[in-house]
Amino acid sequence: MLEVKNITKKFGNFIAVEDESFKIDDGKILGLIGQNGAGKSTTFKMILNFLKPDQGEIFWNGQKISDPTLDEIGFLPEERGIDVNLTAEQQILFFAELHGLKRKEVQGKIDDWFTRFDVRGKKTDKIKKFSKGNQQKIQIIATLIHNPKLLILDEPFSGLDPVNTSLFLNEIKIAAKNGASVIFSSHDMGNVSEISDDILMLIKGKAVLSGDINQVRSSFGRTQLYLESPISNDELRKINGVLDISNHELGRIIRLADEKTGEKIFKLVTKNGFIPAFSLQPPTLDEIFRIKIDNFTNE
Amino acid sequence: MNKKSIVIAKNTFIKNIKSPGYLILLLSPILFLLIGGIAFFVLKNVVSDNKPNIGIVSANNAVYQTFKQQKNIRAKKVISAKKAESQLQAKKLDGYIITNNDISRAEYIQLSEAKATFPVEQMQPILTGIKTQLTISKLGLSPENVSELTSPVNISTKVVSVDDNKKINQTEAQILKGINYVFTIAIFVISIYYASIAATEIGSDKGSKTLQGILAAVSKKNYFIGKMTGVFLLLAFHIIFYIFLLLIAKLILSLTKYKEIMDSIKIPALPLDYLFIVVMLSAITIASILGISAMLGSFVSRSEDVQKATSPVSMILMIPYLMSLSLQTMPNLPIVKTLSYIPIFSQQLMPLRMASQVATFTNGLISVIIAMVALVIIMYFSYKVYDKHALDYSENTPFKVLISAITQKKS
Repeated sequence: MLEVKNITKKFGNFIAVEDESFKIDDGKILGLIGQNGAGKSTTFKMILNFLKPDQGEIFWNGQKISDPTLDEIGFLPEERGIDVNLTAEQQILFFAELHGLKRKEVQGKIDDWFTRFDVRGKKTDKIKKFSKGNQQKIQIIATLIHNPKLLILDEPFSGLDPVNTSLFLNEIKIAAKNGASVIFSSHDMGNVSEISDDILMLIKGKAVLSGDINQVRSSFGRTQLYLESPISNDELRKINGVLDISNHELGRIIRLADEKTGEKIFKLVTKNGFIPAFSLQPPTLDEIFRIKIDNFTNE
Repeated sequence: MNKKSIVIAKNTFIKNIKSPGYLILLLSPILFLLIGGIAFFVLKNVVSDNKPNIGIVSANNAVYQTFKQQKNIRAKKVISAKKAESQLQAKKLDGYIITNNDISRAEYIQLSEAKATFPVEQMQPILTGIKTQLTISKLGLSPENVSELTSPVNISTKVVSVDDNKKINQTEAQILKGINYVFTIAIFVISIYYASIAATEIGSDKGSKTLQGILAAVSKKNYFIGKMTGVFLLLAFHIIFYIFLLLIAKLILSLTKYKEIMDSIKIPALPLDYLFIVVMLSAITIASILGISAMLGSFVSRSEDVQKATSPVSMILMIPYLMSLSLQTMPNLPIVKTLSYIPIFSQQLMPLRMASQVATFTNGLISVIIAMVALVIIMYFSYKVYDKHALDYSENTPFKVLISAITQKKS
């Protein structure tokens, strides 16, 4: 279990992270969301001992993170970097050895990892021969090869196409299923929603939202309606509590002030019987993100 | 050493040893030597084939006998100037010398299309020598008198060291100076090469952004130790490779027709105290240079800036190198005396002073101790700067970064 207790980090007068706390149990995935400069990477750097917090403490399984405990951590930095002059195999073996594995233990597994990530190229080729996407996959394999118990992923999906994103999402789920604690940052709320058990939202270094992803969404009420009905937008806008209407797929998404407005609309659109779709949902993470930023800016 | 440091050291060593750049560094002196050797033998054969045929027209047989012993010409005795002229026309001679009986006058006639020439500057002292001998014998002196008259004065030199009042053989001193000269050049070249490797190793991981991934697995301290060890292993390999090569070359040559030449080369027994100081100062200085280079390498944000960052090291090394070469005959200058105790400078200047017999073993030992203390400080400071700036990608100049490392607290 990773436990972050009240950490604060300042750079001169700039507060990068302020009194941040969270914990991730074994087998759980925490999505860290926030705008650029919100403090996500700084948080990761403090967990990894790259930076020392000005205040607060970080524990991994009750111990401070040190050289031996680093063997249990897998880290994928936001700025990807691998030695392109090494072969894919040499690079993966190097990282595996650094994490305390023996070469023989790893050598036989590289082919399997290449298949899992659909890496195009030979493991004995120099990395500079691989495409950029495949280079990124090699780095991901180097991050996962030692089956880390704590996985820290900084913007892991940036630069990956949807197919490869899906492959990676699947591997993250497998890692969690095998008991790893996972923390990752992403700007793509869809990915965060798909795999996170918990979320932590940072705005300007402050945690503004945290907890189980479904509970967080529910706490905002069912204020998002997906509707497929012949009713016109003008009629809908006349209803008190309708904030916004936008077209989405075959229907419309209507943002509501509260759940009661949803009930009013339901009665109105079903007065003549069947309609193809009416789905009242809590706001998406994306919307919650925007709401929180608006609220923070207005404070 | 920590296991992770060993992994870093091993990786650094293997990566470099396989790189074309390192192989060029390792093998280029051998290639140059081979090319030089081939050129020498080719040139030697060309030269021996092109010895000029010189006719000697002189009533005095000593003239022919003396010129016959000259290795760069083929001397041929010719009875008369007329015959010499006809042989010259037939291109059987490249030139001929005519002298009168007492060698007071001589003339040299050379063919304009001669395949090789015999410079007058070489000819003149030979003829002058014969003339001197002839004049002396006319004075009725015995051969012993002549030999005594013409033999050079033998000057034997001994230097008395003020510190220990020990008389030192000047030949030994010359040998030491020669060895010191070789050491000076070797250490300068090695330091420059390995300073660059150390800085590149530290700087390129940072510049290529690989470092964050690595430091997620190993502490900065163990990474730094591993990198430094890796570079030292490369250096050790370089030295062992050349010792091995020298031994092989000696073995091969001793089995060939060059055996006599090999046997004739006698390496003098060097004073152990001198060797100890030279080896210690060299090792400590190279280690210090690597430390400084690694620190400078940690300042860069982009791999391509590594070489720029290490340019101060080359400049610092250049000072004692040039001083050591240019002040060979002035080892007691106050500036040389002072700098022979200053780390990095001491590596070249203290051995020079010891070789010149103006510094004792005790002086050398003091210099070694000072260099050792400085090495510890340099390594500690380098690591501290590295620790602070390993992941700093700001565009600050190295000078600013250095100042902030000195003045600010740890982040």
